[in-house]
Amino acid sequence: MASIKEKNISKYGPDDEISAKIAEIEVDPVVLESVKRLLQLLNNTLKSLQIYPKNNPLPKEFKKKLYVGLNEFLDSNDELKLDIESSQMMLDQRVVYEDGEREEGMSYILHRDGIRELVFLKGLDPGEIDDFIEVMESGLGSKELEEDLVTLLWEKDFNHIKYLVVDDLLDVQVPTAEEIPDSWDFHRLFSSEIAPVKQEIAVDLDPTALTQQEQTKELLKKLKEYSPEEIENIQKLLELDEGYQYLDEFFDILTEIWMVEPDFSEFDLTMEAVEKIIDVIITIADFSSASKIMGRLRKLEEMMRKSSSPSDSLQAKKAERTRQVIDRAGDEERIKKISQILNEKENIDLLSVKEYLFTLNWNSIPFILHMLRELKEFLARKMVCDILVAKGKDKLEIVKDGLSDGRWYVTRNVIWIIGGIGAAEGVKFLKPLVRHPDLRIRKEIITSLIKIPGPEAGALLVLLLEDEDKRIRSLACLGLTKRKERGALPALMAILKDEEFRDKSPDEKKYMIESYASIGRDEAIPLLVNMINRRSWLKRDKHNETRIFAIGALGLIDSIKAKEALLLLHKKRNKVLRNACEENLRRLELRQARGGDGRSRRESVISE
Amino acid sequence: MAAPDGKALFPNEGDHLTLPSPTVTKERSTPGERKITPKPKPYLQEQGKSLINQLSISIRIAQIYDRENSVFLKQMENLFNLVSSLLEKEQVLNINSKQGYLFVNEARLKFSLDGYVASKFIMETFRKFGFESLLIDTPVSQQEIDEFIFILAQANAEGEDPFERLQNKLLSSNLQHIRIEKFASDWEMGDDSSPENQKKQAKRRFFKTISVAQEMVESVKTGRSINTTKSKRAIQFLIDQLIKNETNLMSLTAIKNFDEYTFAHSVNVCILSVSLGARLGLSKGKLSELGFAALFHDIGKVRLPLNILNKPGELNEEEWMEVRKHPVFGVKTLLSKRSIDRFSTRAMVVSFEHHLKPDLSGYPPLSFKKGINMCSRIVTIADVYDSMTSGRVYTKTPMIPDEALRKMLQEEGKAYDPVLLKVFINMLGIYPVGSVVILDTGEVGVVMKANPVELSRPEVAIIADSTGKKEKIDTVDLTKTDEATGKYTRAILKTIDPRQYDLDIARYIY
Repeated sequence: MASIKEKNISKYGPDDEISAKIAEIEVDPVVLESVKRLLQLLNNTLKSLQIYPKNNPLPKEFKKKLYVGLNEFLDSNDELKLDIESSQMMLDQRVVYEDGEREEGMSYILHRDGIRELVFLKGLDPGEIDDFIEVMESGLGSKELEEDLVTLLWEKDFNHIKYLVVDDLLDVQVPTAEEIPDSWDFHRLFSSEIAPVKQEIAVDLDPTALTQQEQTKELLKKLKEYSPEEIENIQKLLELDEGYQYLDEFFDILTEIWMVEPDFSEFDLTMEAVEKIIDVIITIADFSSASKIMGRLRKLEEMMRKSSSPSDSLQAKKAERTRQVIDRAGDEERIKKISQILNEKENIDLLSVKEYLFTLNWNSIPFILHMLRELKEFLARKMVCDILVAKGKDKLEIVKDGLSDGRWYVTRNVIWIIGGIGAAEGVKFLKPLVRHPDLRIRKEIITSLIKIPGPEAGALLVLLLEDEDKRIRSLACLGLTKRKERGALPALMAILKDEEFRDKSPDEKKYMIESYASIGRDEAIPLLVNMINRRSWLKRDKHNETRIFAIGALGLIDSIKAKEALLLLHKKRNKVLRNACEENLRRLELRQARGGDGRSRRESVISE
Repeated sequence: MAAPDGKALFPNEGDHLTLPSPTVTKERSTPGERKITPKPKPYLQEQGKSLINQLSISIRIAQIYDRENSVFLKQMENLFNLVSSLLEKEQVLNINSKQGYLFVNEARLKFSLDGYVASKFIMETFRKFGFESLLIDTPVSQQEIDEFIFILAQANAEGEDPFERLQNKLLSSNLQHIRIEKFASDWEMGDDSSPENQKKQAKRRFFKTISVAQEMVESVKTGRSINTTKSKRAIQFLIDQLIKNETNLMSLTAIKNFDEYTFAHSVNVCILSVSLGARLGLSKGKLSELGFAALFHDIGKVRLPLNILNKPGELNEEEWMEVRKHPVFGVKTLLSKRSIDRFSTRAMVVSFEHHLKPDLSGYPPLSFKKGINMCSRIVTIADVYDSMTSGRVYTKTPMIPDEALRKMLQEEGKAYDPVLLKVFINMLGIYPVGSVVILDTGEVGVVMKANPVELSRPEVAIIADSTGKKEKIDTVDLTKTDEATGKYTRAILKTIDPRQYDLDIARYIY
């Protein structure tokens, strides 16, 4: 059992006394060494847990070794009793562990919370080691620990770990029995209480007294035994309490108070307290609780607005104050703090941060946008982008401000967000960036334009067909294909008809031709057939390459007309072209025989 | 005879008895590497509880019936069957009472409402006779079990060295497979774990908690930040003390004439609430939440005008309206702590709800809430009882404890959770600690300790004999019977109000 004992620190005595005792106490060097090793192992376990997740093999291995080592030690020594000093642990006044320089290590956190002796007893089980490590980890991990180490250890209620805590109990002045005057009036008591009783005993108890005795018996019986229903009622009460959600209960009573609070200044004071609570909760990175609080505040604001009337301005005033609390929770200072926490702390639950950010008012959008500049980790940045997609739907005017950020990655993130929002209005903000010097930005614009409906997005993609970089031009083709952007057909046709088309790289040519075929389908056949039939004596290899791509594109169209065109072209004398037609016909038949969904392979690939 | 680990279980005279080591299976996988896998034994928890129940029933039956009686024999058969089935798996049974807990081998038993009385009875029996462990080894016989229970039930725990006398009786009965082991010194108490020292510790703890409560209220009044760690620690110490020895602290709650009763009231409500919670089987974590909430249930009163709080007469309607604000004031005060955790929120909830009734009537009026928190239900009972018996704001004339309980019982279900009230009365007994009683012998006594089994037969300190001589003699157990007649030697005839005779029970409790 984890226990607490009063102990006067002065009991340890001055240094000279300790030195004298050291000379007296002999410690087996083997024991000393093994304790040092065990404490080092404990320290390593804790440090590894600060770096790696709990299920990582490294801390698991350390923990296992610690458990085995401690039990081996306790098998032969029965107990391991350590004196805790501010930066050292001692075994029989010999230093067996020291915190690193300027480190708030194991000794420090135990000593800080008043623990002066720590004892491991024989019989220690793995669950106890796990719990002990969990407590120490909490102590090392957070300076803003709400519950001190002693509370955490005490609640674990260990069977084989004990500790002594400094307690100033000895200073308490207590009264003694002797101080209480013995001046009660016995004679009066005797004559009025005992004498009549003596008479009663002499005449034996009368029938009324017997009835009273029977009633007492009945009462006793009723009290002593618990019926199955009573046991069940208690069980229900306990089960209900097991699921006790402290924040919910807390806000339940606050809602009761707030809704009927007649004094606005009192209301304001409690709201101020809630603001401070939110600050503390954010500081300790408890975003799950913070988002719960925000949810309840939003609900409260709504209830107050509903209950307000022209004759009762107090409710409206209270609703407004509630909104201010929500606004404040998403102001620049608090959002900056969140960025700082995300950058500095390990293992933050991003889902709960996301939930919290989601509950904020729109006033937070510029600051959340600003997080994209501050955050170092990809996953955290992704979470912020997701939030902005969800929150920025009606606030594109604010979101677009991020596009002008000097950092390429912020601009790219914001383009992604605009794409995610998917509003046609977003195109006008992307348009000025289509000639952005950074290829990554132009690439992201294409990805976003694919997601934005409407002809404006298609037109912008068409514009990108003229990009100076062939990769962007090819991506634009893919984008157009995916959007089935029929408006792109004239532009594509013009490109395909251009004399210089055959000089483009094979990849680009292929994308362009296939894109034209996929979007135009049967409408594209005449131009494609024309491209195949056309002869050229100049740059024949490049020309034939274009013809082969055009045959492939016909094969992708997967229609009767396309098949007919291929059958006709199959009669060509040019063996290479004939073979290409044959191959595409074969593929076409195979697809039809397999009962495909009618979509071409390329289309499937593109849509994926 | 040897224990499984090769160590002698019942060694030769002069040797120390060795407790069986906790069960771990040890295998060597590769040289130099040791693998230890704990062997889980969930059955020990369940069967251990049954064992304690059966032991308790057996001892109590053996105190009433003789050895040939069929009721006794049937019960002994039940006990023997249970012991045998456990011994088949365990080889040795070590029933150990330590630091307020009962262990069966390595399993610490968790008792809830239905097993609480039995576990307290067994712990009390162990304590009275001064033994920590009862060891049963295989192959124990039915006869040995019968003999042991009978000796234990008939033994007298009063007088010098009850352990030695019991031990001698057991040895003379030649019990080969049952043995008791004396209490070792209490790790926490050092070498001085005497009842007197424990009482002294409890008293210090009680007054320390009062000073912590006082300090916290002063902080609130002066607008300083509230140090909850101090309060939490104080409550942890109280809980540890209550788990080990409930009586010492419970008896202190009966003293009502403190100078600063407001703080003593908070500590009393805390002790009474935590004791009730412990009977329900709440974990230490939950108990400390409950204790914290109970300690600060009335913190809202710091915002009430002193002339209302200290008004000697009855309050008028306007003053009552002010008083009824204190639950909400309590929430606002605790809210100003500006940090929330499970302790402070529980305290706010309890502060808000402790004057609400199960049907949600009472105050403050509700609009949305659907139920009352378990902790609030507990604190309500403890608060009303302590207020009634001390003559505080709500009842200016203090009631004697049993009268207060009877009055509360009349309103069960309406004003209080009926089952929790029942648990509370079972905890205090029909004559709660601190009650001044007149015995059928004409003696005057102060109830010092409740009897969880026989509620009307607590332990009583005789403060005056039937001839009118004032004295304080040893505490007497009202379950004690006359050896010749078999009748109880003393019984309570009635309770009296000590204040009528200027009798201060603190003199007998300290």
